[in-house]
Amino acid sequence: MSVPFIDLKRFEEGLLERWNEKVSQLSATASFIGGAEVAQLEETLTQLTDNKFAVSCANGTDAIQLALRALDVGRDDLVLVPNMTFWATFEAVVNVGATPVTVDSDLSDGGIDLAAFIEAVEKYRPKAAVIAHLYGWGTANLQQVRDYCSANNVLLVEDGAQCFGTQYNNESIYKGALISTTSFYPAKVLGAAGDGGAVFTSDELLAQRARQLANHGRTSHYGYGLVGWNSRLDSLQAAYLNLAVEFLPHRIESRIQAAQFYKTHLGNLGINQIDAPAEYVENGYCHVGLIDNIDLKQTIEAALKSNNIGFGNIYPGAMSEQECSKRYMHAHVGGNQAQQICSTVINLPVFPYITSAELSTVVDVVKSACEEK
Amino acid sequence: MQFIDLAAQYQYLKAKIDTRIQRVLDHGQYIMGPEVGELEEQLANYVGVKHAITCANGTDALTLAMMVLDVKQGDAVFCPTFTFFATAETIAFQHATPILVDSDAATFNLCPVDLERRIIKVISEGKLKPKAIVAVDLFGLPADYPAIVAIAKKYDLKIIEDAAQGFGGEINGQRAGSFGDIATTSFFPAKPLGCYGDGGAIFTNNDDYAALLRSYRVHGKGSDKYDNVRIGMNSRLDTIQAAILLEKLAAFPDELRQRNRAAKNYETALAGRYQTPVTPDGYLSSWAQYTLVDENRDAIMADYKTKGVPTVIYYGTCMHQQTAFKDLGYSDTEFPVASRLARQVFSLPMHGYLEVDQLTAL
Repeated sequence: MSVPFIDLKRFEEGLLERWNEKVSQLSATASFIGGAEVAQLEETLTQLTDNKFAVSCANGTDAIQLALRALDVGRDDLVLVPNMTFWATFEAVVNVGATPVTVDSDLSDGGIDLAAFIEAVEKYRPKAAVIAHLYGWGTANLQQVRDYCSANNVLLVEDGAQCFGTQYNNESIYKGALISTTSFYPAKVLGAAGDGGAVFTSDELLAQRARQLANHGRTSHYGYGLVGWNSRLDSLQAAYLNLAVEFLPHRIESRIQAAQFYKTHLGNLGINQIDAPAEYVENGYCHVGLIDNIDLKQTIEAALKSNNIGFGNIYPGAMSEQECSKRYMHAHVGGNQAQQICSTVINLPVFPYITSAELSTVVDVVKSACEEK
Repeated sequence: MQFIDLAAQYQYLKAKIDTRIQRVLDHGQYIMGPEVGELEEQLANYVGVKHAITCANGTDALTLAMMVLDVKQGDAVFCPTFTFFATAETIAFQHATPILVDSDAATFNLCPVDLERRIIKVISEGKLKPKAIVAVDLFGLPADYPAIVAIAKKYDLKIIEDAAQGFGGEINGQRAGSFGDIATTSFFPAKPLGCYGDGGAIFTNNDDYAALLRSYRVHGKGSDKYDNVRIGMNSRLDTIQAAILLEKLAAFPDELRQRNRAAKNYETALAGRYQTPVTPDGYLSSWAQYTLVDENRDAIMADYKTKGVPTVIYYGTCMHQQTAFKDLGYSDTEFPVASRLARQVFSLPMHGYLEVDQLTAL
């Protein structure tokens, strides 16, 4: 049995029919930009994230740029970024004109290495920092990072592209952030049927600025007070998300069960399976295994490939190791835990409504690869 | 009456569009699915260029074009002052300096005489490096490319054709999107070729530019999206929007004929009463807008309103009048034509499903 890394076609009953109805409705009234669907989604997002404001936009990368620019981060500013994250985090900092300083990651949870983070702030006094909540949870030290940044005047942007639905100390992980972002890329826990993203904050001024920047810096019907750009969530996508969000608890439950199944059945095989830190209830975004034995990792990956089982390596390369990053970054602070994660990480298939037969197939293939070794 | 009747178009194309959307849901490839490639091929064929690269919207298309031309701080980029904000915004977004140019009184497009005057001025001041010209096909009429190309050659400048409104226009059979070194368009729903959300595209005959654009729009990717060889952005056209555009592109030639028929009827009925738009010999407009000029604009618009005819002002504020560009230090006196147009223009309903008889009777 082949198992995809992710299958986006397992819709809940009635979801597609209801969305098709909405598409016809929106098309017949030509409501494609903004409108009631976008407003409804933003309202739902403020409730789910426990923030006062949610500003939807075109994608998760734009969301990070909007957050940085809303904070007035730009030319000549230094910004800390995690060394292990998706390229967009690094890219957004460069695109606003600022200069990244990479900070090492923590091998235990994939989050930021707190000691390196503090060292970087003391050494470079950056204007802002971006941290990324990877894998469906955040760093165990999230509260310390937030407190430390606010005490040291570092504007903290939390890239929450992968953590929609994650709970931190029994509340939404986005609550308590100065400003945070997410992505509605289809493979995300709350995914659209195309690109989308959002910025969350409880600061009215930041929300206003983000909203204005996303609409060409527009201040009145014909007036533009700022140089912004165009970053909007399509109404069709908002309509899809308004339906998808109803099923979010089921999807998360199904994802968590899948990740848990692997954890239960793949112990003691030389795969270091990473758990969310104790303060978190994860959203089941993915399963994370670190395999120090490179031979073993290659054997497992080859077995998965030959059995048509999808897998991921989130992420295969640290920011400081990318072909062009040296040209843009000011410095790196801390050790090389990020590189260690990148070279050892493997992610097994996790998506809503993956069947137990599929999960067993994956487990069997991984187990027999390990035994063969 | 609608200013742009997208609902009428949807009713006409509904079955085809619904089927196309359903097919995307069936394969589930929402990002860069097969429809994106199919559309890009058809767009390139239609425009008559080697490469069409789709992206998230018309503003991103301009930004991507400027990234390819390496527009940066210290560069002067020339563009009309009478245009949509994004034209000048994207220049400033790259930290370059927009040098605004006055308009031609008859076509509303970039005035080549003023363009050359301003190029000479920038060169003589010696502070900025003249880099490129953004020529806008305003309201659907291609800019004066024969003149602009000659000027660009003379001063060694690149040309970006901003065909956000121009898609479908022609000069002597050559289609909008094929003028200049690189061209951009927008698929904003109200555009002559619009999708059902945001979308855009870039056109070029240059293989290197095309390869760069395909990398820039997916995070500066190399062999895959986790191999990042340059700073890019995230700017993709959703597969669903590509699917919708495929059906709309098929209907586009007919709609373009309808728009031109409507414009002709307007011209017959309104010439002499107002300044009607000029289409120079050999030019074809896609009629993104049908725009009139009159000193008594406000009274005329009010009168149309009482008759149930919606009219809109494109554009009431020039770039040199925008707060965002006040630091550039321009004044109205430098742009006599554009400043007057901003006070006197208004646009009539225009779309491919317009019953013009009913309108001209008014």
